[in-house]
Amino acid sequence: MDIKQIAEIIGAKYSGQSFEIKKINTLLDAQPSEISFVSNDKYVKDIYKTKAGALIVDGDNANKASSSAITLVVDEPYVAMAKLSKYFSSSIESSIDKKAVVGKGSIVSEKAELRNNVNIGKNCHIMANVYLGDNVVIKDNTILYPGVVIYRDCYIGSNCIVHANSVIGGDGFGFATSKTGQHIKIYQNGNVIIEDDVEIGSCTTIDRAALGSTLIKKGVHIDNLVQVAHNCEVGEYSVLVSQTGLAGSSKLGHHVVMGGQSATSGHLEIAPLTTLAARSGVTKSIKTSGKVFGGFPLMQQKSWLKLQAKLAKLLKT
Amino acid sequence: MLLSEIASSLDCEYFGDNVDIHGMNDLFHAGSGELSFITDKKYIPSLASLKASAVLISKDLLQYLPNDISSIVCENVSLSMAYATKLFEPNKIEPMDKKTSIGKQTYIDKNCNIEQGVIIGDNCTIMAGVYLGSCVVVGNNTVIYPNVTIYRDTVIANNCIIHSGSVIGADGFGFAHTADGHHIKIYHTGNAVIEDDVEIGANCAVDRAVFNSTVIKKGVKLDNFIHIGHNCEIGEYCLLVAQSGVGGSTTLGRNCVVSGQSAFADHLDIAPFSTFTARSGATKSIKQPNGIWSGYPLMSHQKWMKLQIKIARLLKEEKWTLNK
Repeated sequence: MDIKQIAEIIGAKYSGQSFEIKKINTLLDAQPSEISFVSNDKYVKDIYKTKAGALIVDGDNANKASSSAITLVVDEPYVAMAKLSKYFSSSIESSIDKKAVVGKGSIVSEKAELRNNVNIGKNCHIMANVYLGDNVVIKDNTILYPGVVIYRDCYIGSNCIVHANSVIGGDGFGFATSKTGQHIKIYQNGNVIIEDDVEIGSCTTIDRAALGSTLIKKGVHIDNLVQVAHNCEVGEYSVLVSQTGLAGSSKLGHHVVMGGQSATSGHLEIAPLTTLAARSGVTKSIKTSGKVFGGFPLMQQKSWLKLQAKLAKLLKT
Repeated sequence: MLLSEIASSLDCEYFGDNVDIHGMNDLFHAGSGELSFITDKKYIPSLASLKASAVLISKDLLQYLPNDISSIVCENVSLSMAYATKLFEPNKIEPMDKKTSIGKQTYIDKNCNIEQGVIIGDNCTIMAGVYLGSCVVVGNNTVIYPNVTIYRDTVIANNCIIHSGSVIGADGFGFAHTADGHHIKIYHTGNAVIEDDVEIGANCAVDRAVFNSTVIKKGVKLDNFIHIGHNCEIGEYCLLVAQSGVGGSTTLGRNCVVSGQSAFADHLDIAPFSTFTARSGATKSIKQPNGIWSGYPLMSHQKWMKLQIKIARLLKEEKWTLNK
């Protein structure tokens, strides 16, 4: 998209030459053909390092960018980026010019909907009312129960089982809020990758990444009604019990066990082999592996048991 | 349906004119031709301004009813109300005589199920496996992802996005209880209304109202697994994060932010610009706008932080006594 057009969409003044922009990206990852933005003071320092060809900034940061980058000045850079994300998003569905490829021995229900360029491996079982969006890849021996929806561009490995009505690759919950309190959708242009030997229960949702991939690694088992938000990474052989929720960009190591109704807040890491008791709520990263935690706010399970004993005593006196 | 017929099906006596009744509604919204009901003494003042043609009422409250309104006197009003709702339950699927209208540039997948009387605007995308019940209305530029179910009479406005597996307009969780502990279904004759620019995540449930409408106002964004009970009103530009729930008839003011796994009891009024941190549970109305709230039972976030510090201290003290 031409920079002039971009300036018009976000309401910035630009009188320079035409310049083709291919993508929106973060300050540190952006290439010379890409546009980036500064919305948070935390990232101002990255202005000096970015290779982006164009930058969306507010008045305060207008003069900090390198001379090579085109700067577009707006009041609310984050809102401007959200508005722009729509124009760089893929279409919801395209017409079918490449019929689905289905491997040997696979059974696909007549009532399943396979969109453009879907690729299904050998010995799979795709049941009624399953929807596979554009470019979805399903590897060998995978079973999709009725009503499963896989949004476009997602990848499911081999030997996976996805139970009825689960939704893989729905949009992550990302918005920029304007000064007047409106929420502008940030289009989620990434995908979901599910590795081999993963089982996912009924009515679970795994959201697609804003950029990049939400990743469920090999051998993970997920129960019913679990929420995995955008850009999460669930490590090998982890277990998520029913009604658990992972907020955006949570990163679980291998063999993490999360009990029922437990949850994490966003942007944190959980060390491998961690066990979280039912209803526990993680708000900070867990750095040492192999420990057992419970409660909200989170504490070691031993302390939680002690606390319950003290509370019980408190009630008696 | 004549009042006498309703009375006899409920096994109750009626008083006043044998009026023709075409529907039911609550005390505040009922109009002419409608049957209302009074379940509690606290609603006596509303009887004076009641516009209903008839009312289900207990014997002891009959004296407060204006003379020109007919009545059916019953022992257990809630229970009789529940039985009566069945008499007015609309067809699950409208018979084949209503026109369906579909706007320009709207794409509807061949594997959708569109009932009679549905109206869809321009530039919409309705994907595979979607069910649109009788008389559903969808505005312009709305996207409905695969396997969404929209029950009959639901209204969805312009520029909305509804993600896979969500169910809009299903029956609310409403029952009256018999003396021997059976639960009698209250049939839901209302609908759900989704205003402009609303996005609803995957596997959400927005229940239809008993009477009138459950309303999701302009610019609201719901994450995945959000439950909105019957007769709720979610104010403009509210954000509800995953796995949160709102009990029946609760009203959220504009721009509330509800973090993950939070919940609201029923019949609450929440002031605008309230923020709820993760896992908070509101059981009382909030009158002061702009507050930040946490915990269950709910308290101000500041207080909650203090409480957590005290709990941490409790754990550290070896010989802790109450009277120290």
